[in-house]
Amino acid sequence: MSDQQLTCEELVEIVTEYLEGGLSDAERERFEEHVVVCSGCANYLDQIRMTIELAGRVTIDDLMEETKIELLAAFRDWRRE
Amino acid sequence: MIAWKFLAPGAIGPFSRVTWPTPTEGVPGLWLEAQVHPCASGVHACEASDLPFWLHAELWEVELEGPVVRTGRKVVAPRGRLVRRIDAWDRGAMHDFCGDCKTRVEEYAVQSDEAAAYVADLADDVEDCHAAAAGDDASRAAEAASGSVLRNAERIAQSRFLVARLGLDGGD
Ligand SMILES: [Zn+2]
Repeated sequence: MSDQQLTCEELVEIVTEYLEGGLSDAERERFEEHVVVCSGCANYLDQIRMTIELAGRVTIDDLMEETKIELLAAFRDWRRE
Repeated sequence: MIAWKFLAPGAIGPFSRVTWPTPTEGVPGLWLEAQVHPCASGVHACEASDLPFWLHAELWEVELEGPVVRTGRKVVAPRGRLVRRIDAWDRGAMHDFCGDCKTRVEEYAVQSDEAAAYVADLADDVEDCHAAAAGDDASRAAEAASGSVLRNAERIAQSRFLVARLGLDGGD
């Protein structure tokens, strides 16, 4: 475990590694701890999972940079909505 | 070993997405084996002290069997089964947990302006009845007020609240 909490931005960067089982136990735990408390990232993870189920496979590179920036902006604002 | 597990509605693992077999008429659910579990390292649960880190819709008492390993804020075993749902973990308990966190954050707010910035977040958490966010925000407020020692103390206070409010046995 780590005292350093994951940010939404960091989560977006490692979401495919998480889904592909590429994270260490400690990284995985930090990832999941963040998802528990962050509704924005929980929704994002659900969407990525759904996309993978529908399309077979997706990587972060498949998301256009603009879409990624919009997502990150949305995460920053979600609690204020 | 008896441990605790938060699940999504319908007894679904929030990360594994596995549907756990539920108990019927007081008989525990079927064993979930590590080899059929998507997470290769085993069946995950937690001890009472780590409950605040994994808050979700449903809380279950879990029996773990085989060598149980404590890793980070989880315990992992080759197999586990649901023994009973903790019905006391309902919306009322979630709301009370948020309120308990908010009360402490108001105390931290007296100590530091940085901690005071979390008071509004806690008000939102109470309104949304988002227990996990309340626990996280309260731990951040505690850290802002007085560093990691108070942050850890805040998490301990949260787990003690849950053990007492939910009547959990064997709190560690
Ligand atoms: Zn997030």
